[in-house]
Amino acid sequence: MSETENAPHEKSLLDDQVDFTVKHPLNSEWTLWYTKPAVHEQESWSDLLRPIISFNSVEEFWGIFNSIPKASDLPVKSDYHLFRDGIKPEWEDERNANGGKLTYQFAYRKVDINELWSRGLLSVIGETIQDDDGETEVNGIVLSIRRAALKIALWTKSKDEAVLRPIGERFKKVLKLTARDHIDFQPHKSGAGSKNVPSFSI
Amino acid sequence: MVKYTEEQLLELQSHAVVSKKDALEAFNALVEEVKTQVPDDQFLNGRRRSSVLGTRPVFRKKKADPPKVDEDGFIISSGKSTRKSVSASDDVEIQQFRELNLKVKSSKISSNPADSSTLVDQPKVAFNAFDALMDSDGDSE
Repeated sequence: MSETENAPHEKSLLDDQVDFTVKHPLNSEWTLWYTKPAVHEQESWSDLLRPIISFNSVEEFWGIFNSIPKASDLPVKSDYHLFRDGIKPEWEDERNANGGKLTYQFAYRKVDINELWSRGLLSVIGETIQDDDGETEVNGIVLSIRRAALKIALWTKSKDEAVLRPIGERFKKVLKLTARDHIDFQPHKSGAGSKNVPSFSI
Repeated sequence: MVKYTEEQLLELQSHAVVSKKDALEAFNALVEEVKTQVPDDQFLNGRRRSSVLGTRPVFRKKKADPPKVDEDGFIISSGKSTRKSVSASDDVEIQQFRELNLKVKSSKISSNPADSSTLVDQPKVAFNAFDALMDSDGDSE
């Protein structure tokens, strides 16, 4: 190995550019995760779920968004997850455990998934999906690419219908849904035998 | 709470900053690798087999070589058999089969009387009135 390879990476002006250009901090630090499709049977969930990158400014968000594959370019059984403040996109995470998810399922190929996913991301990082006051209720947003359908879900901290209903109404507008469309809320911890039954719809 | 509307965020898109290029390159490489490992039809962006679109693959047949012609304008035979799959030993077997088949056929000839009208080589004897008169004249003498 050469000396140049062993030498610590020297910071250039280009590296420090971030400090000079970041002008629009976000309310939280966000981490983008990716679930890759299982290629081998031996791969476990932990092998498939990977954190990609974290950011805390609008400018960094756009730099990432412009550099990664579009939603429509992902293979089936892929997921994008965007979660705040180090929350893992798993229901076992203690900040998710008492919450649930507001989900809408789009028919395959009937929508512009790139536009809807970007609208969802902007509503989450810009915090417009939430109430003006109070604590952050939305923990993250998930895009699931499946063979039969495309799903976008908001993961919430609680399962309080009174708190979640206005968020769900805003989520419907973000996803350009009509009054006839319904978003289902499903808590992560359901009663026995009711795992797949939504507790309420909006 | 710091908030940005969709419009405000979109205005800042042109100020994008790539701070962790290595992580993004590694991620893109991962997705590309996954794409090579999953079937083509498992994509939303229409990367599917061409047959799905109703078009069929075109099989181009190799054109036959033009026949060789001798000085007189006759086609020169290549001398090769067109029955490419039949070998010399097969020819012997085929001949043996034909001989055997011929024996079987001959043994199956019917014993019923043949229809005389179908016989070709049967001698035909026609009645001749003049010959008959001549015969009777001789008898009377």
